[in-house]
Amino acid sequence: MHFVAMLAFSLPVPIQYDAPTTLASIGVAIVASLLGIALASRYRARRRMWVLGGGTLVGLGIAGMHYLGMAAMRMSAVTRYAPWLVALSVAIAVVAACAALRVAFSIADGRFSPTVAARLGPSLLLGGAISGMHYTGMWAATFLPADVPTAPAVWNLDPAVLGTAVGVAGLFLMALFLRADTLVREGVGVRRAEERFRRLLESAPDAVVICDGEGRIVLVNAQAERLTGYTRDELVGRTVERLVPDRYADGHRRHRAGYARQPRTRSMGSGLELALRRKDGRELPVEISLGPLETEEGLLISAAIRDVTERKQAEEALARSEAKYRDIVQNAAYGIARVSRDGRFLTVNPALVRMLGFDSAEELMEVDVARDVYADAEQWEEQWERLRSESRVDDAEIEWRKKDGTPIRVRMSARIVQAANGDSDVVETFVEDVTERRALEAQLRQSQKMEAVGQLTSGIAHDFNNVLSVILANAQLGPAFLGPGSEEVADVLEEIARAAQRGAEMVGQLLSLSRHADLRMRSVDLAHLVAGASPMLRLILPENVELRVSAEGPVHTVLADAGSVEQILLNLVNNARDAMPDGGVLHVDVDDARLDDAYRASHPCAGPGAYVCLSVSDSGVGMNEETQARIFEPFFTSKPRGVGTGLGLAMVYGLVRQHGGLVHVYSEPGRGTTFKLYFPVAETEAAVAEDDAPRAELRGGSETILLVEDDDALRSVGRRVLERYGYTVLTAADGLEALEVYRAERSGIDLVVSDSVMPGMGGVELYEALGGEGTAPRMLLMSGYREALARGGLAGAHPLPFLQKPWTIEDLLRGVRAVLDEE
Amino acid sequence: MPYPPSYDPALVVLSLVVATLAAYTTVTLISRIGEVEGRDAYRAWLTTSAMAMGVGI
Repeated sequence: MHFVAMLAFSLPVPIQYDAPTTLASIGVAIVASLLGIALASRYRARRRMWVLGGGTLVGLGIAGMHYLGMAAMRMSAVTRYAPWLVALSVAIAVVAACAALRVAFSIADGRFSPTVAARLGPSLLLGGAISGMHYTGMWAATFLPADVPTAPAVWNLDPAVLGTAVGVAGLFLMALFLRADTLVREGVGVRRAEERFRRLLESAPDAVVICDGEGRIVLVNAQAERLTGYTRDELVGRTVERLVPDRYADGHRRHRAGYARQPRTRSMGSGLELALRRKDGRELPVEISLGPLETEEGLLISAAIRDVTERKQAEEALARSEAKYRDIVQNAAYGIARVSRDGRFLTVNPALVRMLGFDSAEELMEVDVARDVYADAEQWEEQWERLRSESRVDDAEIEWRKKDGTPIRVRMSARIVQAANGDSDVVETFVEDVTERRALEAQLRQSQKMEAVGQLTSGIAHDFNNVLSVILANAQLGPAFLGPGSEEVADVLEEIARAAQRGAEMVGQLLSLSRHADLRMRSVDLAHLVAGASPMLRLILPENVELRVSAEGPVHTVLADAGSVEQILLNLVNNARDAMPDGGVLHVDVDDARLDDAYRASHPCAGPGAYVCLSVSDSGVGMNEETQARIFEPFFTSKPRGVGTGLGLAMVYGLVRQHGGLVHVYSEPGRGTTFKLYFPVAETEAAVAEDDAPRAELRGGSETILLVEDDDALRSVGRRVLERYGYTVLTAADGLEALEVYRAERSGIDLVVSDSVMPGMGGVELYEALGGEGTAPRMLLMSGYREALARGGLAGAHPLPFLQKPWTIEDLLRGVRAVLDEE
Repeated sequence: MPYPPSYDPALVVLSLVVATLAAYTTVTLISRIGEVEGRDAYRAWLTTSAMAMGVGI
């Protein structure tokens, strides 16, 4: 600028420029600018300060150049400067340069966008710094004529040449710089665009592989490296089939070619399972979306690849879990259903369909729940009320009806759930059919109650029957001592005897209560009966006892009282349970049986013919022989105090005997116990006949009888009756005394008539003490207990004739005669 | 008596244009300096803008 401006300047004298000084002045300008701009661009942090320093340097450079350039002038004049104007020129240069640099660096720091308009301001300032300084400097100068010798002309430059040269060179340089700037700016722009694209790729969540029209990979992102296991260098330049499993490679090539013809953004192979092959050979299920990229080098295809392994696994896990829960519902023992407010089953499981006796779920879903399933429609409404207020119902027992109208008792839990469409309530309900269980429970309670009654009755029966026997015998015997004309007394005695008889019947009834009722003999299929009772048996057994019932039948029918047989079974199973505190197996079998001759020889009371055998066998603790010998004794128990009554097996024995059957016990300590009950097969349906044999006339005899009875009154009336009918009677108050009497008399005694239960020694023990079968005399047992109880455990071994108390005179005499007449 | 200086108005205008153009070039180059990456490129850029300024003056 300076030299162009000097070209515009002229003095009356010619002006030449000294070359070295001129060059120095240009050097000053360049160096000062360099230092100034470098300083100003130095630190962004303290930019304001550094720009101030840099600007000052540039300003001083401008001024320095100017005054050095002036000093290069060679002319016939001397230059004088006005000092304050010089100062002003320097100030202008410094201030304007500072301001210009400040703005320029603000743009460089990005505080303004680098538009032309934005750059114009600092440009004018800087231009002003140069021009303002120059012309102020020229203003400060006065040129006084002087004869100055022309300096030794090393190089004098002509102002026109200098100005033109510097001006042209300057303009050329400016143009060059601006062009360079444009190129650089464009270069920076492209790099930035690429950088942005790359960042976009790297920040994408998916792996991205970009390939050209031939399928060669040109770009991948870091996610793609991670996903495939290849490095960038191993992928770029290779065909994309490197990532495709071999079996899909051909198809992939074809599809790729097809896509290149019709490129559009879409997901790849919709509906197909796509797989990506990793470097290690592992395949991953993936989802791929494709997009075309039009570039100057042609079409590029970008593939965004997403690993869906986890999603697949989650889907599979979900499917598995759903199947599992569906399975649970389908196979549940409980009925499970969803019911809508308007009384329709929305879903039902097979258990519910079975429970309600329907053939299919579809059929069940047709019915109106309130009308067809609830026995009482009001209960349906009540339940809804409860559900509305409490949102759930737990363990409610209500009556339902099956398809055929059969009532069933169900226990249900229900809770309200929101229906999918949200506009009506739906109830999810679990239902259990407890009909059978409730019935069994009632049956069990009844059995237990009866057992208690029986126990109580048995307890009083002995003494009470003794009392009745005394009354009865005396009343019957009385008329024999009356002379003629005492008919009224005879009537009174007969009245007494009838009343005593009635009392005896009442005791009998009470006793029979303990067996539900009087035996009612009917034709019974034991296999059927046992199979029917097995659920009840299961109920009284703990979990750790396995019940195996083998009662398929068919077996012969027997004459039996079903209730009694059930009671027998219940007793035996109860005992078996108590014998297996640590669990085990309980077998209940029913089968036809025939007692062989050997067995019958050892069990004389076993009649000939076919039997049905009911056997109950446990794997429990078993019994030793001593215990076995006594198990049928009344009030004998091996169970802890309070657990057993001691009557169970006694009653079993008695009942079986009443059925004309046999009981066989086999037991080994530690191995378990087996009870075999033999019921005789019914000969004919009409075998119910009682012995209606014509009553033989009462006969006495002349034999000697030992009467053993602990009840004094009964003993004395018995003696009286027997003596009256011609017998010689000895008496004893208990077994021990009887033993003494017997030993004293020995051979003279033809028959012992003994009470069975006595203090000290009972009837059966007495029989044994007398030497048992073969040695002992004939014996007739009497008892107020039922026969079975009175006989006790030894009865099987000693089938002694039995006389039930209270006896009538006829009973006593007939019984005595029958035993004496036996061969 | 000092010599009376005289100015050619056209050339004065040209001088102003040259000054402004030089300043514009310098400012343009400086404003780009933030985009230049690398130490050498930065130095070259700095030198170029300083040259524009120096020559312009």
